[in-house]
Amino acid sequence: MVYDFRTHGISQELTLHATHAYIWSLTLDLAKSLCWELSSERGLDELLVWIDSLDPDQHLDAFRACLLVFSVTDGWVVPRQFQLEAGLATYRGKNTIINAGTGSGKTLSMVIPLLMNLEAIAIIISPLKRLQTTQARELERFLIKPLAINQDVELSLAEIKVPRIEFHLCRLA
Amino acid sequence: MSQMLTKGAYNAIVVSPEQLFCDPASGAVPKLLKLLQMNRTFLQLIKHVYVDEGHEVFFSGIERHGIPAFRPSYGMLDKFLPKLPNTTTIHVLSATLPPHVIRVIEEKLFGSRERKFIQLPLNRHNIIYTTRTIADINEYKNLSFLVPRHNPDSCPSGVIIFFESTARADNAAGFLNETFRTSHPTCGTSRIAASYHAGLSQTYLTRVFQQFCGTETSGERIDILCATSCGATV
Repeated sequence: MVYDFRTHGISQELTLHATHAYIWSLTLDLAKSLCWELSSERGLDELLVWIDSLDPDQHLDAFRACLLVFSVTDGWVVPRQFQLEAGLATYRGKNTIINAGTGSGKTLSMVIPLLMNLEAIAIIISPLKRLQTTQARELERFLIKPLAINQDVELSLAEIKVPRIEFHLCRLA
Repeated sequence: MSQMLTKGAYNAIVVSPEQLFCDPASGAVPKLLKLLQMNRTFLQLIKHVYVDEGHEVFFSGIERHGIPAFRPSYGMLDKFLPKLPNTTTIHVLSATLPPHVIRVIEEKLFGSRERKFIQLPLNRHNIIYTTRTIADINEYKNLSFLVPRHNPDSCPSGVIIFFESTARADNAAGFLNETFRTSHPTCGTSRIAASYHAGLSQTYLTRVFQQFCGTETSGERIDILCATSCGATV
């Protein structure tokens, strides 16, 4: 049930603030308990401690990112600290340099900002066609829709559509 | 516009760096560049640029030791980035970023832009480091623990020992085989170790490698490779 503040003579602005704060706290609680449940059974308490140490606004983003990753992978994948750190920094408009071993999960740090902002498009520059294919397949695991463009791909009739904005690309070639 | 076909929603575009520049020889404009030039709205939606295998900026993108860049597009990314909106973030991902490589990348891609550096251990959890002090570098006695004492078949298999020179790799392999034959005279001339370096022929290296993997038809096995850095590509 939704409590309607307006009938109680409170200004609209205040109502908005109150609603926002209410939803915020509700979401945070929910996200936190869900994350706690999903992560602690995998022995990821350290991750939760790290999230708890964040600023309040980043805190919510971190939980949101966790939940998004959980949900797109059916609860299989829990982001690791560096993936969250890199993903959230990207989401907040920071440039990053990541030096991490092969197979450490750098792809997920690219996935997080894309899940958090569905309108964003990322260009991923990759040296080899083989790597591009692997990269694209890996992104698909997280429900990101990749498009590999190289000399082999016929883009002439491609149409790129993103939520709310649609592009119709006519023959380019 | 009449020729629109498939409908799709893409939020990641995976490309070779060459897709971002006109071909220097023919002047042909690649597909993605055309798209970026034609459609301002599309351009505005590019929020992140990831340079995967970012060390390529250094290794393939710039002229080094007097040899021209193998893939000049990597070195020209700094010319492409200003075409994107100011809010677009740039990310470099790699597992090979020693300081001199980072310096070039920072210079080329970031300039005065602020960046966050995330360094992870490049180790794997199943790697153990130990140090053993030896009296003489040309003594190979400290490797003799690899030679089985009693049962000649109990040699640890799949061992690669790295050396800094081909001569030392050869000597170590000789030492191991010699020790093996001395302790097991019944085994005749069979060997357990072989050297593996660029001074040997391709045919020989292939055969040794097959013996090492246990896929050689004759059934002869090599358990220990004494390699130089070329063994890292095994």
